[in-house]
Amino acid sequence: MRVPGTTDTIVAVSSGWLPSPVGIIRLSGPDSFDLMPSLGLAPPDAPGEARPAWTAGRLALGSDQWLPVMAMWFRAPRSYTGQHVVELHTVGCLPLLREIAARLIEQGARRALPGEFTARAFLSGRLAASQVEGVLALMSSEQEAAVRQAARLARGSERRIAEDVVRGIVRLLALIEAGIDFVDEEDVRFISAPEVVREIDTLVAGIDAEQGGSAASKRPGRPHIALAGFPNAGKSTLFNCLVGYERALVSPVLGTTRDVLSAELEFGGLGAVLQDCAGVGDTADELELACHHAGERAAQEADLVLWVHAADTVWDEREVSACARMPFERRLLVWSKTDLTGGRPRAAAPLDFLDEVVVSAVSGTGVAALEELVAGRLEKMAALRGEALCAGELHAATAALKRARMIAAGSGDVLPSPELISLELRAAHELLTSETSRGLDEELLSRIFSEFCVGK
Amino acid sequence: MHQGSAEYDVLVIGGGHAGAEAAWAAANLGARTVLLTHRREAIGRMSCNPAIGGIGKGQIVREIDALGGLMGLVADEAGIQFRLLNRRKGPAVWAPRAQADSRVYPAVLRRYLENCPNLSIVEGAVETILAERHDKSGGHQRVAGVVLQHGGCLTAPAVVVAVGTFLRGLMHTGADTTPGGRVGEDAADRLSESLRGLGLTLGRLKTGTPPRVARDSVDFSPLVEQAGDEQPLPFSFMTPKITQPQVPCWLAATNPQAHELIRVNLHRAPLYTGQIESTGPRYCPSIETKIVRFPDKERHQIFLEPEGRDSERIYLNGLSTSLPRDVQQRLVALVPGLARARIVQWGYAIEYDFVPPEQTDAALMTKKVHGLFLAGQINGTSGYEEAAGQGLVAGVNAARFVAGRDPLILGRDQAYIGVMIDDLVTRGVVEPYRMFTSRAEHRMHLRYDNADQRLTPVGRAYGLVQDDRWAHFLRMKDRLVRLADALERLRYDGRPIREWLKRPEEEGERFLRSFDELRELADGSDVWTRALIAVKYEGYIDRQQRLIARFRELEDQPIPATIDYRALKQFRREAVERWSAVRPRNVGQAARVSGVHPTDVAMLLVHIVGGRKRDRTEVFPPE
Repeated sequence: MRVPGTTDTIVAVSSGWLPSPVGIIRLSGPDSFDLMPSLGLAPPDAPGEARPAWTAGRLALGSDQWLPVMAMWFRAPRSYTGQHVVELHTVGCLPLLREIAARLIEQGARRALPGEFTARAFLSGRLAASQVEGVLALMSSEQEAAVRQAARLARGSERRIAEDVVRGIVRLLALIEAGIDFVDEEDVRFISAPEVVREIDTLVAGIDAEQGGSAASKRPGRPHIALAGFPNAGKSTLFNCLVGYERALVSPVLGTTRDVLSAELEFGGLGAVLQDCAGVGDTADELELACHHAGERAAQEADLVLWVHAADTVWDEREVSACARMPFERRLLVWSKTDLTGGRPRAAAPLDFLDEVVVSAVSGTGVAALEELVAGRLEKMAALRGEALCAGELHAATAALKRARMIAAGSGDVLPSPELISLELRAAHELLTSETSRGLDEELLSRIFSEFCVGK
Repeated sequence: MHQGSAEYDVLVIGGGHAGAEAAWAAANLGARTVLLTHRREAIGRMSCNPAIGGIGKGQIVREIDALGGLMGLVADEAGIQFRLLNRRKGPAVWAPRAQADSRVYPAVLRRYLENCPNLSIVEGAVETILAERHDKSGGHQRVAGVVLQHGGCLTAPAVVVAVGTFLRGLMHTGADTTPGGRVGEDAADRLSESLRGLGLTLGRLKTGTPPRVARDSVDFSPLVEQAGDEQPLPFSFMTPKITQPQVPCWLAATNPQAHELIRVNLHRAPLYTGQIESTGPRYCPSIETKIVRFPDKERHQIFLEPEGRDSERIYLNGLSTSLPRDVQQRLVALVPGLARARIVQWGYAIEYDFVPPEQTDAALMTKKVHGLFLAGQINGTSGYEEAAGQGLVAGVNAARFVAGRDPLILGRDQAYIGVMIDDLVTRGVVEPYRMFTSRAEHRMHLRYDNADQRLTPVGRAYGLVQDDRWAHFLRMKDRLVRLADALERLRYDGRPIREWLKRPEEEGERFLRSFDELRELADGSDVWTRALIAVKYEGYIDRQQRLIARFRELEDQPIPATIDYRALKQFRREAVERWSAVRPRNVGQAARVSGVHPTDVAMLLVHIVGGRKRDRTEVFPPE
C-alpha cells in the first residue's frame, strides 16, 4: 500500500461515467507542474500569476500520436486543494485517459484515493471545518464504490496478472532477504545472481504480456446494475426488455461469474452493465440459498440493485431480510407483472427502498420511467476512481524491476548488493498492492522458514 | 525527581539483559533505582548462546551504545571472537557479532551496575506488584511498589518487569519437567498471578537451548576451524580497538544416522508428544523440528562455540533439543568429533508466560496499569539484544514517568529498537519475536555505522549521554564533515576523489596513500569506511531520506488520546475495530495496523484535522 501523504502529487481521471465527450485528468501536489513536460506540455510563464491560466496544446502520447488538450494551471495556494493543481481537459476516451494517467504515475505521481482531492481541500483550509462530515461521507461512498469495482475486477484477468506478479516478487524477495538475514547458514544457498536476473525477466515478461491487452483491460469502469429477486419475479423478462432483444450484446462473461447474465447498455447516454442474477435454483430448498447468494453478490458488487418483486405475490420473510441486507441508498424496488394486479401493487412494500417504480414488461408500461430513474441515479453517484490497478502502476513497477535487474546482472554468480535489489523489489511490490502491506515482512519470513531449514 | 512518599523512584525486577539496561538508564537519569534479582551472581547471565550481536541484533547493540547503554561496552570487554557478518554485501546489512566469555560478561556488567550512582542491587524474589486505583488517571491503576517473597516491601511509582523466561518457567528434557527460569534457578510463579490480578492477559511461549559438552572430551581433528576477523570491529563507539586475542570456533554437522536416531525417538520428544503446547520461534528450531520439517536434508550444521576463553564448556549451536537425556547422549555421540563427548549440561525446552504486547504502548508502559513497564522476553521477544534495547527504553521512560515528562519513543526511521517496539505494540506476536533486517523498511538508513549520528544526539537530549561520549561524537562528526569536504575538493586526474570513489570496485586505498590530508583525517577508527559508505550509497540514502520524510508526515500527526473510534459513523467497521483495540498514538501507527486501508487513513487524517480549531487552519504551508 502506498501510505497516503499530504505532500506528494496525486492524479485522477475525473469525469463521471463515460462515454462522454470530455475527459478530465486532474493532479494536485508540488510536482504537478513539473510532471507536465513529460506529456509534452509546458507550464505557463509568469510565476507571480494570480489567476489560473489556460493553455491550449497537444498532449503527446507517442512519437506520432497526440490529443488536443486544454490545460488549466492553478498555482498554489489559489487552487481547490491549496497545492499546485493542473486540470487537463481532453477527449473523453477512457483508455486514452488511463494511458495518460499511467504516464504520470510512472513519473512518480500517485493515484488519488477516493475523495482525496476533497480531503486535501479540507486539510488546507479551503473548506470550512464544519464540512468535515460531508468530506468524510464523500470519501466513504467513493471508497465503497472502489471496493465494489475491485471485487468485480478480482475475477478479471487484469487482477490475476497483477496478483501473479506480486506473488512472484514476494517469492524472489524472500530468497534475497534470506541471503541477507541468514548469512550464518554456510551450507544453504539461496539464490545466485543469474537466477535473480532470470526471475526478474519472467516477471517483466508477465507484465508486458498483460499490457498487450485483453479486452478486459481496456474495458471502461462502468457501473454495475443488478437485477435481483426471487425466481419468477420477472427478472429475465425485464432484462430482455431493457436490453432490447438484441441478444448479440449479451455476453456471459464481463468480469463476473458464470451464472450471471450481463449486458452492456446505456441509460440516458451513460454506459452501464446490467446483470441478471437469474439462473439460480428454482426449487423451494434452494430458495433461501439462492436469495442469499443473489442478494449478497448484488450487494457486494453492484452499484445499484433493482429488486424485482412480482406484484401478485406475497413478500416472503427471506426476501425481506435479503433486501434489508443491501444498503438503503443502493436499492430500488421494481414492481413487476403489474398487469396482473390492475397496474399497481396491492400493498406497500414491507421495507423502504430508495425509490420504487411500477412496470409491466409484458405491456411495456413503466419501462421508460425505470430507465429514467436509473439514469438519474447513475448521474448522482460518485465518479468511479478506484480502479484496482492501472497501467501506470504496472509501468512504474516494471521500471523498479528493471533497476533491480541491472544491479543483479553482470557481476558473476554471487549476488551483489542484495539490499539494493531488495529496495527496488519492495518498491515494485508497493505499487502493485492496493491494501496495507505491512504484513510483508511476516510473509517473507513465513516463506523463508517453510522452504529452508534456517535458524540455529 | 518526584519525591512523594515512596522510598524509591524506579524498581527493576530482573537482572538480565533488559533489567540491567533499564536499571542503568533510570539511575543515570537520576532516578533512585533498585534492581531486584533472585541472585546477584546471576545478573547478566546468558541463558543460551554465549554470543552478542548478529544480523539485525548487532545493529541493536550499536544503538544501545549510541544511547549510552551498557551492552556494547560489556561485549567489547568480554568478547573472545569477533566477526563482521555480511562483509561482502552492502554496509546497510553489515552486522557485528561476538562470542563472549560467559563468566566475564556477567562480571563486567555487574561491575558497571555496582558502581552506578543512584542504583542499589537487592537480592529477593518479587511475588506481588502493588497497584492502586487512582481517580485522577481516569480509572486506570497506578503502580505503588512490590512485595517480596519473604514479606519485605518496596514502594515506588514505577516498576519495570524484566523477568525473562522466569514467569512460571517450566523446563522440559524428555519427560522430565523442572520448574525454573533457567538451569539451577527458580521460576517466578506468584508474579504471573500478580500480573493477572492487575488485569493483564498472559500467553505462553517456548524456547529451547542445546546441550553443552566438556571441551576436553571433544576431538577437534575432523572439525573445520573458524577464526574471528583479523581486525575485529568493536561494538561500542567508545572502544578504540579490540585488544584481547581471539579464539576460534569449529564447524560440525549431523548425519543420517543421527537423524534416524531422532526419528525413532520422536515419540519421546516433548515437542511432539503434546507435552509442550506453546509456540516456539521458527528461526530457532530444535533439531527434532528440523528433522521433521526437512526430512530430506542429510546434514544440519552445528557450530561448536566455547563458552569462554578458559571455559571447560562448549556450546553446541544448532542442536537445540528437549529430547530425553539418553537420546541426547547418543545423538551427540553420533556427530563426528563428539563420539566421546561428555555432556555437562543437557539441552532443554522452556515454556514461560508472557504479556501479549498489544496491552502495552510504545513507551513500553502497560495501558491498564500506569507506571508499570515491561521489557524483554515478557513482551514476546527473544534474544539478549532485543531485550536490552527494550530495557533501555523502559528504564528511560520509567524515570521520565516519575518525573512527569514525556516518554522516549524511537521511530521506525530512527532505530531498529523503534521498529521492534512498534511491531510489538501495533501487531502483537504469535511466536517469539526476533529482529531481522527485513523488518526495517528504512534499512538503508538504520546502519551499524551511523547509529551514533541517529541516536547520540537523542541520547544527549534525554540525559543519557555523558560528556565523554558526547565529546567523542562531536569529534567524529567534525572529522566526517571535513573528510567529505576534502573528498569533494581534492582531485585526482582532474576529477574530485569523490567521483572516483563512486565506482563499485574502488575502495580508495591508493588515495589514502597519496594524499596526506586524507590519511590524517581518516586515521584510526572507521571514519574512512563511513565516508565511503556515504559516497557509494548516496543515491539510495537520498531516496531513503525522501521515504522517511513521507513516513514522518503521518507519524507526526498525533491522534488525540480521547478519540472514540466507535463514534465515527462513516468509517469502515474493520478499521474502527482494529483501531479501538490498538489505540495508535499517531496516524502513522494507525496506518500500520493490520486490516486498515489507505482511504481509512486519509479519512482519519481529515477527521483529526477537522477536530482542531474551527477556523481556517493550514496543514501545509503554501508553496
